[in-house]
Amino acid sequence: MLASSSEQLVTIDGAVKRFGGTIALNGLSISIKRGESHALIGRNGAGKSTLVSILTGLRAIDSGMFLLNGAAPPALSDRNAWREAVACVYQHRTLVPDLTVAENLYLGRYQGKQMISWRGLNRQAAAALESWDIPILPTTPVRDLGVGEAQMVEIARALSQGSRFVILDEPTAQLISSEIDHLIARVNELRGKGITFLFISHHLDEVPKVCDAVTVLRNGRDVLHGDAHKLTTADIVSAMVGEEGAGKALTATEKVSRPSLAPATPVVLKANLQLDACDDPLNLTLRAGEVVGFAGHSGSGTRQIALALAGHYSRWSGEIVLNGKSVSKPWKPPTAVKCGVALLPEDRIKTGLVGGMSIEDNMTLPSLKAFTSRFLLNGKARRKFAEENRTNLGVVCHSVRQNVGELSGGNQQKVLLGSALSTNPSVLILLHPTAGVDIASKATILDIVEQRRRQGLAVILVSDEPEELAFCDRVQVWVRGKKVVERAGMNEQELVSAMEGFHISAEEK
Amino acid sequence: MTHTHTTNATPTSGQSRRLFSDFFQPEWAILPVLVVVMIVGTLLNSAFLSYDNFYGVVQQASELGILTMGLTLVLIAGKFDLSLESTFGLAPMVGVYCLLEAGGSGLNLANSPILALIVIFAVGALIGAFNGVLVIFLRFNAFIATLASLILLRGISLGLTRGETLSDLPVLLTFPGDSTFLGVPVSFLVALALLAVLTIFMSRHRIGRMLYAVGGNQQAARVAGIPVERVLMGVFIVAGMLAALAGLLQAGRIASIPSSLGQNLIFNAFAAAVLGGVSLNGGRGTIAGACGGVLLLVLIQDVLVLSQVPAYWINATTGGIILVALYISKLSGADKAN
Repeated sequence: MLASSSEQLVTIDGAVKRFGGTIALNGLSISIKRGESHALIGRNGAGKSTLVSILTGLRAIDSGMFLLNGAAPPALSDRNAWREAVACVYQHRTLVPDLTVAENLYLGRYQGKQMISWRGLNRQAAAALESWDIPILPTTPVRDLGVGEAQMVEIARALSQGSRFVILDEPTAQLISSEIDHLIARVNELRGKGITFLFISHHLDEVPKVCDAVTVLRNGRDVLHGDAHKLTTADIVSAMVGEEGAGKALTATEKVSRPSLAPATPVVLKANLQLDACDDPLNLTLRAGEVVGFAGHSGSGTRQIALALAGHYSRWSGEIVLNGKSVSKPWKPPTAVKCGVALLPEDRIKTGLVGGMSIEDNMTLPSLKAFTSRFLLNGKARRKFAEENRTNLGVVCHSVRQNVGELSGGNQQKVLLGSALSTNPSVLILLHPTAGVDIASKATILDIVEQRRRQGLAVILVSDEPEELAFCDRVQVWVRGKKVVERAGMNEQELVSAMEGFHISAEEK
Repeated sequence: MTHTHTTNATPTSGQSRRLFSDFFQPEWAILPVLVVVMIVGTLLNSAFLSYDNFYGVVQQASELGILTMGLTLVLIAGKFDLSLESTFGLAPMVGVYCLLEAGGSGLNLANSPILALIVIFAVGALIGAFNGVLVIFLRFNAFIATLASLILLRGISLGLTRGETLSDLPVLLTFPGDSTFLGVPVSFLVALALLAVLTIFMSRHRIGRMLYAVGGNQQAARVAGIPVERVLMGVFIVAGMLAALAGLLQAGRIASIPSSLGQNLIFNAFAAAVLGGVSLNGGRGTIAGACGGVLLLVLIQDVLVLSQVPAYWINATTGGIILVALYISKLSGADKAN
């Protein structure tokens, strides 16, 4: 399997990387040939990001072998050597929007005299772009470029720094389909010029179009190597999911076994919407005590669906009917909260909690009106509510007056959940509710939601984690603005492949 | 600083340390500085501790204090309003102008200074609303938009009076600024009352808590269903009215309204707020802290005057001392957020 070392650009064998108590890479091996395009596939937490950080010299492995261009890799501090060896185009843009393409290409490494010669710079940039067949004017401000074009500039920058090995981290996540075809064509052209690519994607359909080889990671280990054109999607998905997940039913596991709803259960929320972010319309009927999941990766439209229902996203047409009454536009967050729709946002630090305020303040923020008696806030009632919630949710803190910014991620998420539930909502919308949360807190968070569900709370759960989606009664899977499937009782493998753009129907099994 | 360690401590010691840090709010850090300034003042000039001196100090502190309270509300909500100093001058001017002009033109407003009082507050509220629309709904940068308002409103003051000073104010308008009750200036009583009301409002009224939330994390406030725009609009309006009141007090004290009333005062208000632990990034600070900052600033200027620093050098010295005071409050952790 190992080819001669001159052909090998990257050879990693038995790499181990620990972060504190957790093992991110657990004996991972991968070899990437010069000039090939290699797909790296795995679910969140499989070790992809850690591997990228090692390949780009941001971290070193604890043990194992790592050869770059057949030799030991440069020291981590030698940033120039790394920049010449590897470049990574991340999902987020790293270009300065107000500068031109040429300026961005040579930012911080302009070779010339004291004063900038604009003509020289532009000519140099034009030559570089032309040599890689990238038809973009060097004088265009980056702000005016489309997402796909900006990506090409990032690739051109990597190449102009001397790197012949480019890592593309989910390059197609934010592209529309014509841009994806364009990107794939460009990558194939560049491969012809001897550039090596490591291609990370959630969309398996793209893999055979761009890649020669595939490596699938699971739990920090390589579980499948193969030829991109010979492996089937089913092979890849089962490698991603693993033995333990393959046949696991998602609903009706011992954790969540719910009696089916009584036929007379009232409908809490009915939505028929056309979002501008989605191609397909959203049709949802949610009854009291029901949990409906929306599965999809970033760019699938599920996030916008959740935000639209909570009043945070207004570019939609159609109708939302809440408890039998059609809601009037503009559907804004204050109205939504008042009508009993609560949102648990995805980023607790950025959009969920007020970092400078106490646990008590945060937990009662949406329900301050309920705690008002005779003009002022009833301090005792607030304290009592916060203390009760602290106990119920198991928030580890020394006082509810403690600043919420001092808590751990899991405890912050519990406070945020307490806050969302403080208004006694009839619909709770959860965005990635247990992302970045420790296992014990995960269980608590889902337990609390389950308790409320039994009392009639209707839940919408947006996620790309099968473990979270296992909590749902039925799941809608969305891929790039299109609804792929809506069903109850999908197993992990079906769910993962559906989110990756392949819907394995029940018969095919 | 202390609470990071308490997580590992036993519950009881955690509790007591918690109480300790609860009690010593960051804005208390200004107290030792205030004491030092008082001692220095006393040592430098025996007149410092006299009734007459305190009378003047307290009046000035009340005017600046009420303006600073308005600014502090805006800062806590995470916004900015430079134009408050122009409102400070323009609102009482428009009120008195209406009175005088209308009297001459036979509208018979001359006999109703109460109406003038209403006009003064209405103008304050209107200017606040104007700035609110610029900053919140038109999304202009708050710094530039309110700087433009500052210049515009000052210009209106000048244009309206052609640079002249309005005098002959009716008693109702001068009363709050220049009379005393049991030997205490009325303006000081007004400021103390506002301090008490706003302190309770900010800590115990739901809109007060909303202001902290909006300033601390606007996104989170939205998720919690807080009507962010309406809350911010309200805060601009209240700040404008407070500035108008502060201007009225000063106009009463000097028994006239020069077109430059309040000029450059906003810088003192900012300095006082920051000295008192109010964060320029929003979400942090208290009204009491800001008032402590005002007292400190006014006392420093008073000590400088009493110790016969040449008049031309007072500004430079004040600026230097503000920097020193900021450094001290930084050491004591008063402005973590800045």
